[in-house]
Amino acid sequence: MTITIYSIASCAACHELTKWLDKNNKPYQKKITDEDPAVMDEFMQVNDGMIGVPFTIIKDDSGTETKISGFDLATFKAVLGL
Amino acid sequence: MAPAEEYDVVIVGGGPAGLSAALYTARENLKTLVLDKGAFGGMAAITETIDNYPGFKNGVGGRALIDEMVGQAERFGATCESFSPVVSLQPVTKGFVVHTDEKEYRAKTVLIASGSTYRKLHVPGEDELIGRGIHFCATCDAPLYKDKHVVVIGGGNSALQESLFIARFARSIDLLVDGERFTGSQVLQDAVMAEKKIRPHFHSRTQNIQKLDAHGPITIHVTAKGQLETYQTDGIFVFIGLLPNSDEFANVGCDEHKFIVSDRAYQTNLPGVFVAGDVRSGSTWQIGAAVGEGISAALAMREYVDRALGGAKAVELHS
Repeated sequence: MTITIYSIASCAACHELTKWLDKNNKPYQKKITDEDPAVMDEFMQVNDGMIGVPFTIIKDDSGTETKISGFDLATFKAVLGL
Repeated sequence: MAPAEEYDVVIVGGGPAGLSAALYTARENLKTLVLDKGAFGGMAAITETIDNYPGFKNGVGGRALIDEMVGQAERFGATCESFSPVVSLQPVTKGFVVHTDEKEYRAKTVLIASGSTYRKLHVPGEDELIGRGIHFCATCDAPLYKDKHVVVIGGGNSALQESLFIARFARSIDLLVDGERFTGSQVLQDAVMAEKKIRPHFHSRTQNIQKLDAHGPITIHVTAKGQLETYQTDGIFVFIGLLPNSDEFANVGCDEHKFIVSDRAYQTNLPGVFVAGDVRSGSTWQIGAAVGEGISAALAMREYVDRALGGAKAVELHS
């Protein structure tokens, strides 16, 4: 499983999300969109029109992707089986 | 569900009012729990720079201020739980039961400091586009609109302050104001009028919003003095007022706008339940005022525990 989080530097919810993932021992890659134009372009291509952060892509071992906009705890728990 | 954890004080809401109260009650050796439905700080945490909070001559970042408040409350022993939404508050003998979606807590006294959220436009197209081009938090989302065109809707302090923040990123901003003038402070009005990227439009009421393609522009239809006008934009930020987060407290008395009513000691109609900050009827919706209200409520709660309950400890709460 891989977890990729698109964020901006000042995002409070992104900060809480990564804290929660750390607490649950779930490794992730965090990409800061407003610090790198290439990352911003990448975010705009993968977000399916959901313009907001945190935007998270969880890819399970079979390659299936789940895209989550925002930090809704219940959704993350369900997708990650916590 | 696990047995209820017992506290002297449960505070619902981890914004400036709740965290200030927690600092005071924890420092008075009252066993204190702060529950927030999301990240701590509420509206304050998503404010990029706070210029009118005393003690910071160059202003202070909302996130940084809240992190300090959480750390200070925890230093005196308060327990702070984020992403713990309270779903109900029930009076029981010698206290209250506070339910979250996962746990229940017993408390001798409760402070409601659940704050407020931004009011929506309630026009066709809005619900479908929230998070897909319509936003309520500039600090969260404005950097995503670098060199793009943005529409801001509103004419009060929030709309003006956030427009100035968005102008750091956006190429240009059309600021749609329903009334004939701004209602925000003169200082902010002057700053907005001096910002070349911002074009104010008065008497402009949003009628509907459309986005035909996920990656395409958004169209806003507006009536302005009886004439229909159309704006094409990349994103919309809405700042048209606040709604109290009071729905979970059905047995607490509210005013006609659902803000919770209190007496001079910040106590609600339920003895032992106090209220402070933006959710309180009569609040001035200022961070400094919320801090003051939280502290005043904490002192009243300490007195309530001492007088009404005879200083009983949390472990004596069994009904």
